[in-house]
Amino acid sequence: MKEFKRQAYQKLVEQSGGVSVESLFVLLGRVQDTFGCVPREVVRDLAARTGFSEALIYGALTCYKDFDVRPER
Amino acid sequence: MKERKVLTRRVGKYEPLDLKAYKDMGGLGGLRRALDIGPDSVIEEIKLSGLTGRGGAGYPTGLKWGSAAREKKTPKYFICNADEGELGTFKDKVLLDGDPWAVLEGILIAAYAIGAEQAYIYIKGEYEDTFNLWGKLAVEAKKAGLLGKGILGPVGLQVARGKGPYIAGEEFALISSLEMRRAMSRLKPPYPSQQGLFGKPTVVNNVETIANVPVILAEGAEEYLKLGVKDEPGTRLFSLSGDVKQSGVYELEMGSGTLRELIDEFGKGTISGRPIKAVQPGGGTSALLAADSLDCSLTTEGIRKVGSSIGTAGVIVYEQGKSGVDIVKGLMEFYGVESCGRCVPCRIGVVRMKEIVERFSDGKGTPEDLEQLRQIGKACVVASTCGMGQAFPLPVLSALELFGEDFETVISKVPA
Ligand SMILES: Cc1cc2nc3c(=O)[nH]c(=O)nc-3n(C[C@H](O)[C@H](O)[C@H](O)COP(=O)(O)O)c2cc1C
Repeated sequence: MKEFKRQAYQKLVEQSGGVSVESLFVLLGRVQDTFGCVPREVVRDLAARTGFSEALIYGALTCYKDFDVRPER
Repeated sequence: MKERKVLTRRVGKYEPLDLKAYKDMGGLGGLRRALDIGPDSVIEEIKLSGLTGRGGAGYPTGLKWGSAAREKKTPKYFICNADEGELGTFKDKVLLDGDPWAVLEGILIAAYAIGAEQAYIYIKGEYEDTFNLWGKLAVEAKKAGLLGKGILGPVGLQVARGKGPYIAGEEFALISSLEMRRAMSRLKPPYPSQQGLFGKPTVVNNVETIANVPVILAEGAEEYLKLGVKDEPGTRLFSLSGDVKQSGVYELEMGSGTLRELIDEFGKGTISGRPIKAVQPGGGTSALLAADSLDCSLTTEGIRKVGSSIGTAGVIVYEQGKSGVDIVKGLMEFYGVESCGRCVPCRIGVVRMKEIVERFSDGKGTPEDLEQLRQIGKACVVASTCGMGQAFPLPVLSALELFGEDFETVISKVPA
């Protein structure tokens, strides 16, 4: 993930009151709205921090038409 | 027939983020009284008021709160359903944008009554401006001590933005969505009040339902009961759209007029001036009513008697010149891609019905198609898990009954 994006992501985490299962959907929504997609690094990071598997997060994300897991083109 | 502005009385009268203006207009009176009388009495008051859900199903709000409050498991959650996905329904947005503090006040009272420390508001993805407003509102509320470690004790509000699916408005699908799973419904019971978000007791209420709460608390259930009719107190926000000259949201006292009066007096009649062909009184999944059934009273019972339902009070008008085939094609195009896929009748039925309707629309229907449409529709209604599968066939089935000749005409013109 590019450096500026990592910083922006950290800010979103702070805005959401940290990473928790309770706020995961809200946080990922903010990531999507800010970056236009959910970068792979974010999924990896959130999986590690919530105990969810990456597959579970991808499985859910790809089911919503307003979530995009492909990098911006 | 006249509008009766109770929930909408402050809409547009103050800057949405201005808490002081809201207070000056009598805001937070409901919350103050709630804190005075305590959670149990709040629930009693809501029960007494006869308030029922405005999100479509019409379940008594006080019962729902009572059952969540009785549960021993903690934490508990409160969710305000602002997904407003039903076709022809756009009344929640009026409250969310025009009097957001009243909705927040309702959320706080609800959370207090059931003992929830975490609340959510789940806002339809398309309502981007509303979502941004609520993000700022939550910050203001925290500053004012309404959220955070505030006057109610700790209560947090997460502002979530929907990410597309229509089904996410259904309470269990919404809950799954907040759990970062696919938005899918499931069988009830257990109800959300027993096993909801993260398996904990959860109350899900529609925005309009919640906007009633501060009014009931501030004025008392007895005052509230003077609104509307005996079995159905209060007002309803009717979203009027389709082939009418003047679409919009109109707040009416329950039973204060008929469906026809609503369409004629507020909608100013049809766009073309041609007579009405059909009306859906309760959103896109309510059964169609023919023009001769419109003199029904605007109550749950009044509309049920003529064969449809009040649902979300989204009144969609279709004028003559449209064929029954066109009407259901528009609807099935929307619902046809929205099944969550959890239960078979809805998953398969919605797609097959969409295909058949499209065949008719292309001028290719057969008598067998017609029979299949009926059978699949009926099977979905009786065998589906949630309200989606149970309801989307209703307009199609009613179209076959009321406007069967529109479908027969297509069949008769198919070249042999
Ligand atoms: C397919 C489907 C979609 C729904 N969409 C919404 C919605 O967008 N907003 C809403 O408030 N309720 C919606 N509901 C109803 C909810 O499941 C739930 O009954 C409601 O939010 C409860 O609140 P209430 O008791 O205050 O009406 C939907 C139901 C179904 C079956």
